[in-house]
This record gives sequence, C-alpha cells and structure tokens, in this order.
Amino acid sequence: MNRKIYTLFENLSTRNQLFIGCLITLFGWLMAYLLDIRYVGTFKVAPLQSGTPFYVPLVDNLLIVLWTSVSLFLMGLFINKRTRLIDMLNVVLISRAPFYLVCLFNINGFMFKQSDLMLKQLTAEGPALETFSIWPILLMSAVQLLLAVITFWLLFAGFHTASNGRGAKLIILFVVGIVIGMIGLGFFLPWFYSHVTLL
Amino acid sequence: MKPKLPVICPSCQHALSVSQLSCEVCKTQVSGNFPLPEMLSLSAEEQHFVLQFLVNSGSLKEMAKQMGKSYPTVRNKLDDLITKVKPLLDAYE
Repeated sequence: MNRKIYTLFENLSTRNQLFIGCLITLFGWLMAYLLDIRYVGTFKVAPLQSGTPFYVPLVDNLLIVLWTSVSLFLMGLFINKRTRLIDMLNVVLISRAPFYLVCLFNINGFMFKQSDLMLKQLTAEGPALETFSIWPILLMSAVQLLLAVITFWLLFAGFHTASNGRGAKLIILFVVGIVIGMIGLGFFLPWFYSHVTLL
Repeated sequence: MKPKLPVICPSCQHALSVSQLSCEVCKTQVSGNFPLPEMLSLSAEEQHFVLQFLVNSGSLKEMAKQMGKSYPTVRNKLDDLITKVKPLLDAYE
C-alpha cells in the first residue's frame, strides 16, 4: 500500500500530476458546493445551510491548497534547495482527494443538522448530552479522522518524493510545515475574508 | 547472461584492482596492478543512468519522460548518485 502511494508521485509526470490534481480539486469543489460544505482549514470542514454561492468553496479550497503548498515548499527548501513549488502544489492537490469525501456526510444536510442539534443541546441542557444524539457526531468524527490520516499519509509520501529528505529531519520539517500551514490558515482565512467580500 | 564484474573483494570488502589483462585475438597477457575506473564502482543501473544523462544533454525533464518517472524522482536519483560519486572523485583528485 505504502509503495503504491509512492508510485503515484514517483511515476506520474509533472503535467499528469497537475491535471489529475486539478480534476480532484474540481471534484472537491463540486462536492462542497452541492452538499453545502465549506473548507475552513487543512483538515477542517464546516457544514452550512443551503445557499452558499458556487465560487465560495472553490476560493476556500484554492487558498488552502496554495497556503499548504507554499508552507511545505519552504520546509522542502530546508532539506533540498532544488525542491520545486510545482511539485509541492501537485502533492497537495492530489493528497486532498480522500478528505473531500467528508462532504458526503452532509447529504440532505445531515452533518449540519447533527451539529446544530448538539449545539442546541449543549446550550439548552448544559454539557450532559443524550447518548443517541452523540453517536452520529462520534462516527462522523472518526471517519473524518481516518480520511485526514490518509490525506496526511499521501502528503508525507509526496513531500518525501518532492524533497528527497531522509530520517528525522524529513519527518520534523514535514510536521512543522503542516502545523505552520494549519496555524497560518487559522489567521490567513479570517484576514482574507475580512478584506475580500465573497458572500 | 552478461557476467557481472566484481569490484568489491568478497573476502575483506575492499576495492578490487586489475592484475591481469589479455588480448582475445593473440592471447597476449599483461600483468600489473591497475585501479578500476571510478565508473565501475557504480552499479549497472547507475552506469546506465549516467549514460542516459549524457545522451539527454543533462535534461532531467527529458530523462523523466523517457523513463516514465516524475521529475523529482529522477532528480533525487541524480542527487543520490552525486553523493555516491563525490568521495570517489575526491579520492581520484
């Protein structure tokens, strides 16, 4: 399995990787748009009520992809000065594929209704939640975590191939790159939307 | 099957050298102690890679296309080869 994941980044040409990555990103955008989801971080989504303009999930996703790519690219430069931004961009575009499946939880607004129900319970009745209402949320969180782990694994395989790093330095810089990407997005996305009005 | 030229001593793991050469036609034999060329310390696959690199005028993009690999994979292979060859060149100089 691990070998197959590496093969994806080792055997496909840059152009083919970019083409597949763009298709995957379009798929992610369509899933988010049709199922009323917004991407709000590297591994975070937010269910919405219907009525989001079609371009919003696309802009969200592109910003996340670019930010994560640049963050990993900068870390890649510490390992190998010949690391290319286009390779990191391809890695991020392709690696997010499993994560887009999280959107499926919001078919018929299921994720939104469950989150809303839980929030109402928390505010109305205090922290004691009823068991029947917490199971769907727990299940969704577990699957989301699993999909995030697969995405993380793909990102690592791609980062490894693109930077040719080895040992502890590779692992540390990869984790730092992801964490910087996640924290940075937490500041960048609100800043971006406070200056650019999309909705 | 083409026999593989041994470059490392199977007994003590040190580099082997040439002690005898012979002419296939007149059977003349030359004895001495000649070091093996640096290129021979590379594996057959690595030697092929170096030749491909030369034939493609050093274009890694062309090589990647020919080998059906991604650009970073070919570049990584070259980087690994450079790391392997550098001490050999230093020793030669």
